[in-house]
Amino acid sequence: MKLLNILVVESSYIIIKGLISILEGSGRYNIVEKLPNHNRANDIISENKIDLLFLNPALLDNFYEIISKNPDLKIISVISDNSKINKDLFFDNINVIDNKADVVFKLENIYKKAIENIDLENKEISKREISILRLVALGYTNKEIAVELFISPHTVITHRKHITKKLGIKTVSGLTIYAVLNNIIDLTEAK
Amino acid sequence: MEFINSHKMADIIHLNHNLLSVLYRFNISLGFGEKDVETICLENNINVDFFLEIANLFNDKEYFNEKNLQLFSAKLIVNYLLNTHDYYVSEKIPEIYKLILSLKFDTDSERNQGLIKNFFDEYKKEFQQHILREEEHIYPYVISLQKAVDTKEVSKLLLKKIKENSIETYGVEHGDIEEKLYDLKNIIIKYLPPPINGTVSNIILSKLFKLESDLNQHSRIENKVMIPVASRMEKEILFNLKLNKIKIVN
Ligand SMILES: [Fe+2]
Ligand SMILES: [Fe+2]
Repeated sequence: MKLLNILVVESSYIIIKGLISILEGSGRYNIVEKLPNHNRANDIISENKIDLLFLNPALLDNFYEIISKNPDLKIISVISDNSKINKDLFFDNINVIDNKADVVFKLENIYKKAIENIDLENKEISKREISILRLVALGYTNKEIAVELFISPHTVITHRKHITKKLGIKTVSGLTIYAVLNNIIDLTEAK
Repeated sequence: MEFINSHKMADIIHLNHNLLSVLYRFNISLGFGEKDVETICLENNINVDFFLEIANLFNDKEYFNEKNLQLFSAKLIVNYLLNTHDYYVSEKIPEIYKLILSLKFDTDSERNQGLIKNFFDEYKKEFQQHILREEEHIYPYVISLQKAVDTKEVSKLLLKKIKENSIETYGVEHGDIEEKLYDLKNIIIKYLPPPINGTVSNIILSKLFKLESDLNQHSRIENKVMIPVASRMEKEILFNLKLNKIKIVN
């Protein structure tokens, strides 16, 4: 079974202790770190491969920057008061007043959902993606790729996201190197 | 452990040799003998408290205390950031570049060398542009804010900048210069054929990881320390203008 890497950010000692004992008990999670505030979160997220962040939403304000830098980070809000939260921002929510059955059920679902997402990262890139990667490496814009391959620009963007996720390469120059190394393009074609 | 002014400088370096890079930024050379931190700082004309704040930050990431750092003058902070740029440009980037040029491969050696070299050349360019903007526009702006606060005089030009192009604009646009480093790491780890001189790629990688975390910290000081300090001065100037406590000059 694949272990998911977890970062927990929560100031309440009781909640942190409880949450961690539940997570560890399930045998599916590897707790990379637990923090009482956001201070070191950025470093930990960039230095480790964090799959899930369990976060007290009251601390969210400090996380917008981290979220924008790590669009794939999955955040589970751990709700401990009745303040309203924007559910769209979170991968899922658990509430401290949930009973055992609810928590177990939610964690089960969270794990399943997260694994589906992560499986994508482990897949080889598809033929379709290779043809898009080729055009990216040749310097085509998303619009030009869309025209060339008869797909919508939106689809091009989706493919590019998948390519970046699978290869772990974000920039066009990085993708170009990958394309040359794997003979997807010829060095003489590259600009 | 937290470093204090009565610790011997030599002991601190023994405890954490990463602090050598901090000494570089403060222009402190070795040969401390038995002198403590305070004496060394005095001799080098360095604000001890500021030095300790930075040294502790490098020693322990959890130490980052933006509120403490915000108490120092804009000049100190900007100067430190400038020296950090210099450390990257004069030391770290050339070091890595040299190693990259020395990579050799079994097959397609020339092509592979060329790919990596070009990639890093591009990175260097991006990096230069990033810090050039900061050194030519942002840092001088922050310094002129401090001057206006100190002299109680604000120029029309500066006032225009405060109103139309405040530090917040920079904060929003301030991109990260780590993206390409991330790619480079993955290219070396996952995709490049192993070089003949394998240890070189290991050294490059460990230097890239270090540079990345140093850059992270640098941006953090820009974002969490310099920007709030500048924005506080902007507000102070505008507020004092209303109270006629500050003069507009040409
Ligand atoms: Fe900078
Ligand atoms: Fe910067």
